[in-house]
Amino acid sequence: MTHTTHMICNFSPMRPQAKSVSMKTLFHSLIFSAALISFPVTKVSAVAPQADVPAHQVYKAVGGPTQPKVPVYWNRYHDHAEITQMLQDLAAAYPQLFKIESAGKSTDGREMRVATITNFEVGDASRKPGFWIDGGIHANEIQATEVALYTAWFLAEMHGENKFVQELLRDRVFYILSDMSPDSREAHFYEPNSTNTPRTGQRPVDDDRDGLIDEDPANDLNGDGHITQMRIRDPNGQFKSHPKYPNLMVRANVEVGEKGEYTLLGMEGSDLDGDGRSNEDGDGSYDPNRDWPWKWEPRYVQNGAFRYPFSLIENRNMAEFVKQRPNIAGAQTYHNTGGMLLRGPGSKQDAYEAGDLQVYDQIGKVGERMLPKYRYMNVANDLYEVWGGEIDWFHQMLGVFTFTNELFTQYNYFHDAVGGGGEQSYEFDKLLLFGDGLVNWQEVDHPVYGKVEVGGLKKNWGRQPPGFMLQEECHRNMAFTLYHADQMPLVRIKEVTSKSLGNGLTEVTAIVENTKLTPTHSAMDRKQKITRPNLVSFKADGVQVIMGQYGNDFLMRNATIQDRNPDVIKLPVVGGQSLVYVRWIVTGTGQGEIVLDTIKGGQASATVSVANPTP
Amino acid sequence: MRKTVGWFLGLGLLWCAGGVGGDSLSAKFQQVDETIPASLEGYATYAEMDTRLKTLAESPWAELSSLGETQGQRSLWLLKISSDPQATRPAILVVGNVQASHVVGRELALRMAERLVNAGDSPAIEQLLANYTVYIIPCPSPDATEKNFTSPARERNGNLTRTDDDRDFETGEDPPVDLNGDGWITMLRIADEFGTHRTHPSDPRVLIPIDGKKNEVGGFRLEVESRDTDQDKSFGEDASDGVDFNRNFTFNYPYFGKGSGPHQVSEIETRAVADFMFDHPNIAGVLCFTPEDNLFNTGKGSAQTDSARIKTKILTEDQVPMDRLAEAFRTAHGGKNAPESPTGAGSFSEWSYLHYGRWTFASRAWWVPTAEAPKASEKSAEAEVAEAASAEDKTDEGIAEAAPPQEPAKPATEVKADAGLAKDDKRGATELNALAWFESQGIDAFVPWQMIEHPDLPGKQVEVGGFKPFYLLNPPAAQIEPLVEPHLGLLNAMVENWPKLAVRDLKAKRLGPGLYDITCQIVNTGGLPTMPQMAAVNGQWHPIQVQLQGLGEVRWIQGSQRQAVGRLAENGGKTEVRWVFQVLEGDSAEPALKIQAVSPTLHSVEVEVVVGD
Repeated sequence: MTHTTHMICNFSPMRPQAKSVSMKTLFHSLIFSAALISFPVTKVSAVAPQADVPAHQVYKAVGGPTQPKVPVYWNRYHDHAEITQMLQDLAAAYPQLFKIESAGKSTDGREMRVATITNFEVGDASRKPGFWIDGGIHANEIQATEVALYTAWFLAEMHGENKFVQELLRDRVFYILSDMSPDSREAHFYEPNSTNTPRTGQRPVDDDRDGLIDEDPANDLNGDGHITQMRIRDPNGQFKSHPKYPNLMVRANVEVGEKGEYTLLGMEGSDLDGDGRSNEDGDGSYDPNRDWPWKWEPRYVQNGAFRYPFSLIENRNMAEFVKQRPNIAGAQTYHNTGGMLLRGPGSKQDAYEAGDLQVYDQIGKVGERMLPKYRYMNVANDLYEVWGGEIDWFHQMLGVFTFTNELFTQYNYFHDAVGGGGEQSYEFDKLLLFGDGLVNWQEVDHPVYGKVEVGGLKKNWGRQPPGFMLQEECHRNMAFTLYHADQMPLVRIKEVTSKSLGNGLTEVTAIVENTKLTPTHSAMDRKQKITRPNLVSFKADGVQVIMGQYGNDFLMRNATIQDRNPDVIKLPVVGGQSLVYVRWIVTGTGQGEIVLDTIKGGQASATVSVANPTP
Repeated sequence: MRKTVGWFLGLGLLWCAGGVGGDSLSAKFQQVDETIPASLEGYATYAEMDTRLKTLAESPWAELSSLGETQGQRSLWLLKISSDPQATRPAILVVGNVQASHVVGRELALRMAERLVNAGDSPAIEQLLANYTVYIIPCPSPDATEKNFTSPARERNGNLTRTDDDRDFETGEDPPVDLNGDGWITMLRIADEFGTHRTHPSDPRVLIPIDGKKNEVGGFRLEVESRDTDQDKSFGEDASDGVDFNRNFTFNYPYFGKGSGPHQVSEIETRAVADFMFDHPNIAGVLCFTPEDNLFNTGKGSAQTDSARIKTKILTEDQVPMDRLAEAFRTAHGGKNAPESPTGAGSFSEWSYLHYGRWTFASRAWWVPTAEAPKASEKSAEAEVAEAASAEDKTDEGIAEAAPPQEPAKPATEVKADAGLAKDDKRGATELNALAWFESQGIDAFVPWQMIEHPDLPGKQVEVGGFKPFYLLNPPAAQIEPLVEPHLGLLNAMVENWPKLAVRDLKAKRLGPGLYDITCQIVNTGGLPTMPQMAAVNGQWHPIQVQLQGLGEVRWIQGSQRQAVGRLAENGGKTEVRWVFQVLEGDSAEPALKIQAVSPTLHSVEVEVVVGD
């Protein structure tokens, strides 16, 4: 199964001229990733069709790789084995760009593979400004993983043919953990679930605290792999079928004389442990995105909190990986659903520093253009309160600018108003999915209720885009994330000057510039002293530094003098799209080197000649 | 007992007068002087504790296991004591020194363990162990504790995690230094016209903070005995002291605080202890030793704090039973003028009640007792020496004192408010009392102020002196033993008040052929509620499962085979449980039914159901 996924391309059909090549030959040549070589190439004029070159390589659909070495269908979802295979194929195809490391193992022993993507041939990968991407911390939010995977694939496959991607991978390093909750993703694929489950992980937990563990999960009464709804015929019930979409249950409008026909019995399942409640103790119970240390609160305040921050192994693995990479300066986490670009804070009792909000606003506004009908929002005030969420840990404890995208919006259905409840889904299912999104109501025997019917939205429909929309979702969200990544700090030494002050004194000035929107240190980073300052050092044989200072203009108004070790100036920050002037007063003569060394904004160096005749 | 051992610098354990660069993780060797401070003479070291625990583990009543191994390769020992250590019974957990320097906590936990295991002569203890389990974690942070058994003496609470205590991106670059070479890290008082402190009029050894309202001027500023190795104008602010077990828990966690770690429950020690507790739902009560006392300083809740979304105080409903037990303890203990309890940001004991949701008793166990008031003319020898030594630099009323190295112990002792301080001005009272009490005991607990040349304060008048570490926090070893009994008494009081389940008013009727109606009251006849209200709020409790056993195939008319019962108040709190069902097979014979009520923190109860008409 794994192999078929990756070896058959989803390329457009061959143009008619190529029909002479049997499908079998084509299949084989693609398998060995050597399509061009195995075809006898005839030289023809540029405009004429070439007998043996696929049309899509001649007439490219813009914005994607012409000839991916690892062909992938981006209109389908991938399980753990397929993800593993895809990452390994990419690492094998692009050894100079793509490496895989394990962040550790999940509860059930699955490897949590992080793809590190950069041009390893240029610079020290571990010192480039790093961008973190993860998806699928809520495993049922299944396309989150696909967006992260698509990004990994796109960066590798486009590197050879796109200047922006080339420069991005020259200057930046990406760390992509596509699947934060691999055990539950597998459970969502292969065990009965709904579109909403499992949000939790697979660690065994006694949810109802009765001494038995996971003893009463939802159960799949009709054995179709989907946990849907239950209804029972009831002439006095409050619900009836929707007149246009009979699978949809709607409340009977008694005011206009409608009569109900059914009573709804909730999610498919029964009371397996005899405690009078159904489905109260299944997978997990905790929420992995309420397990992070900033403003963590126990579950009576924040539902879903587990024992203490990082009490879940998957999160602890990821956090260890991130903490060992202080060069990470930006991050993105993917969730579904609702079409949102979210920033923290998650708690109304918390606030982000004003300077940091400006950066978020600038990036978020661009995101709203790139992702139609996605709204740039704050979690606490515009959505709901979240204590102990991942993005607050990133921003408030690591000082890293981080967005969460809530993928997919109902706007995608008919490109009109968002909302309309379930009706839109059923209309869309009827008109565009031809009924593929639903389980039709079907009678089953229920151990307690007798004859009931089960039916409703399949687990793979509701929060996820259908196949034909998935690639667009992946691409647009990736594009936003790459924009954010491109706006991570990137420092350079813009100019160095040397000026004699007389009496054997020379003034050496270096202009340090950050051309991007994000500062080298977020305001929170500076407040909590998370990342060491940027260092600008001056070194020259035969030259003595007498004094060092830095300021925001060449006049050195409001400058700061550094008394201790003035030859290594500590810059607390180089702001977004800002300059900092670093100045030394020195004596002596020589060739000097100025080295700029930042943790999150890269490094640079320049030389300067101090040629001042001593008096 | 002098031994010198080498440690790797990377463990952040070491003194280094020259300062240690943060990134110098070289395998540079440093010496640790394992001379035990005189103030801890008679206290068991880790090795001695190890031996004592292994001796205890030979008893059939005790089982010793390790919750994990620390960075210093020490075991996090757990002793399980019960007449049948294999059984899972309702349990109490005793935790020793949750603040590492509060070594008396470890010693008391060990001695309690010894008394429990060797309790042949005590029917009360025998009764306790026949029905309950006592878990004892005598030393939850052994690496940190062991640091206290070295010289120079300083109260240290952090483990071996490397920490940047002043958040300047260098690690351990400016530790306290024993400048006068006396084996104690005490204080520096630096003559300073505009300083923060002045001497106490009745004893110039004692420094008190100036009172701006009285327009007082200082004379001194105080620093810990140290250099300013990194020349940042802070003194001894970064010894890379590690992470403090008692600052690493989730309640009121001090983010980015000194000793609090990178995040909550980040350390081997805290994770092991927290996980052990979460994994043992049979633990109903916790007794721990810590300066954050709640036995003499019982918490006070209010309607307002009860209804706050995030609970920060004891819930009023829990206060009555807690106060009752605490009062009995206070009587048995006999202590007077207990110091106030410090605010325990990230502390174990507050977490144990507010987040873990168990009855939690936090005992400081000991503090400097109130001394007999000395006569005005009396002056200690030290005081005279100190006064003489610093007579020449007396600019205002007097000289120095000693602020306690760490503890803000504040017994409400009477101050002898002669020479200048108003009667209600309690500044320095704690220190004056301590000086008097130690003198009365013949204990040399104070280093008289002594002038030194300070290498980083050239030309300044600097003196070293103050209370010797540990004395204000831990009793002399000879005074530990009487403290054991009151704490054992607290365990006994918990057991005597333990919630107890009963099935009352059982009515079982046959309503028709094969149709039964069974009702009963589940009653708590014990002196404590079945769980603290806090547990009911935070959900960290296992409800009582009431089951009707012996059923064949039935159709439920009302109820279900098993029903969960929540919190029952003490002394008669009850709830009704009802089952109505139709027997679907073998309806000729009366079913042989039993009602069983089970909870991991309670003794289960089972009654037979006799069906009538």
